[in-house]
Amino acid sequence: MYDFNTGEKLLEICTQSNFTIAEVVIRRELQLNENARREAIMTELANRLEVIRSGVIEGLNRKDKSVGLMVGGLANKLKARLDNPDFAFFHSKVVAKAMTYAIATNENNACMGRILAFPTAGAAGVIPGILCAVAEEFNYDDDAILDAMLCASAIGLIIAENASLSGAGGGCQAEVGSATAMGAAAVTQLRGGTPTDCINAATLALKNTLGLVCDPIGGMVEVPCVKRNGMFATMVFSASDLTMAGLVSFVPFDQVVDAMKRIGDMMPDAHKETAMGGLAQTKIGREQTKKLGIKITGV
Amino acid sequence: MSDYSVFDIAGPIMIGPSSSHTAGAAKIGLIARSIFGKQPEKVTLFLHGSFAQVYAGHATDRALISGLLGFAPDDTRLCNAFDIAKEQGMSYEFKTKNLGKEYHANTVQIIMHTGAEETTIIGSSIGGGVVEIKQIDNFPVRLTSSQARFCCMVIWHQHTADLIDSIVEYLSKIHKKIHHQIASRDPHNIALSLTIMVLSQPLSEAELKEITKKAGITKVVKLQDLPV
Repeated sequence: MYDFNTGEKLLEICTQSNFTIAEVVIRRELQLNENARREAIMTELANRLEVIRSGVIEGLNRKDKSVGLMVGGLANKLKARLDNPDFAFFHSKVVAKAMTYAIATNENNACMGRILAFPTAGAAGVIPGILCAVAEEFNYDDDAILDAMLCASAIGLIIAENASLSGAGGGCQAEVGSATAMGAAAVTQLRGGTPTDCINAATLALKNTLGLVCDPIGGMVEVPCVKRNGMFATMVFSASDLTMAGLVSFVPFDQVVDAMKRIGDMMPDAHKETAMGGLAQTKIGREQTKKLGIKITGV
Repeated sequence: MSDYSVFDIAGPIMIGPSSSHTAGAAKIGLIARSIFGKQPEKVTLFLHGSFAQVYAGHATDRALISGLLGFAPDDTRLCNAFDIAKEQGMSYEFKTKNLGKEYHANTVQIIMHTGAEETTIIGSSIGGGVVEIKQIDNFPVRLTSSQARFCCMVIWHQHTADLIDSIVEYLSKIHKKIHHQIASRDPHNIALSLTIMVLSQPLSEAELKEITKKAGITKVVKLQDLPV
């Protein structure tokens, strides 16, 4: 009754029931597992929100180098800029914060810290970044943030079902692209957007990341992943702002997901997390790979 | 209805850097330990495909040992797993091996020893932290992390039809529902079988002991409440 595999179906359920996307997701979860209880689901989700928060804090404070020595201390540096009244970001405070917190999360991941793979470890920064930033700047309470996590998950569920969430499966469009779309729906729900608005924001975000390849140096979740999460966190706000200003995607959500799937299928293996193409095979990329003693076969 | 849960999307909680190469590897280690039935004294791990290629950068090796020590994928002891293994007297050796094209790129074969006891498993990390056990000793199987998460029993036994019937009967008597059953034969020795029963309710130690007593059983272990 609350099952959905497409954006269209999700909107139909929301319209008929007059529920938010978050409420439909909770009811779907209850339907999925006969032993599940609403309170237990929300407690587990709150536990995961704590992992998100502690991951951001750990990332902001750490100054050590990552496993692959390519990142480390970036979020700490950004945090110092945020705290410095003489440093001016072009972005508003909330967007600069989201960018910083997203990088903090991915840096913590790259340094073997504890994170929530939401939806994957490589794209783990976008959603924590934006959620922690908007909660701080707009004083949303935890209940609202948990609902935003459910709303983000709805988008992730549809993409997982019809395309892929992994870089190995569909390139970075499937990882960071999906995270950006999920985040766009989440913040749009937080600011009072309708389910249609949430899906539209997700559509605009996903459409804007199509074609993005997964070409990390040495196959490690560091370059370009860490800074990319920060930069895509900023796109979440563009997608939501365009939506709330009344701009509607020409291509509907499900057709964008389908396009992403087809692009992913046509993408060469060299650009799907194998470290055999793109940035991984730049001069510096090859040098770093060699320095780390990593052998990428097939090149 | 799709069986993805919200917690498959908003999860897993894990130690970085990779859901497939770190969290997935830790899960394979944890399931392997449960299939062995205790912490092994000696393990030999054969890394295949992408696991063999990029394990160092993703701490795949440390994650596997961490799982074999019984730590969850989000346990920070993962980072010091090698030192802890030494302290606890679990010796380990890593090798690389091409297991064949039929295996997923993220695959490992683990041979576990304690004294004369030996068990081998092959496990694959198929993406987003989801894992599958593909082989137990010589028995081809397909046991997923979501099946291992709640409660399942792995039974090594002689190939006699009566034995499985009597286990099914016993489970029914104690009101444990079999959710899913996997039967596998040793291709090199048709007298030997392995059966996996995925149960809807957890099993107590006493109940497991009762099943172990049955004639024709070589070994039974239960996988229960594993954080995988």
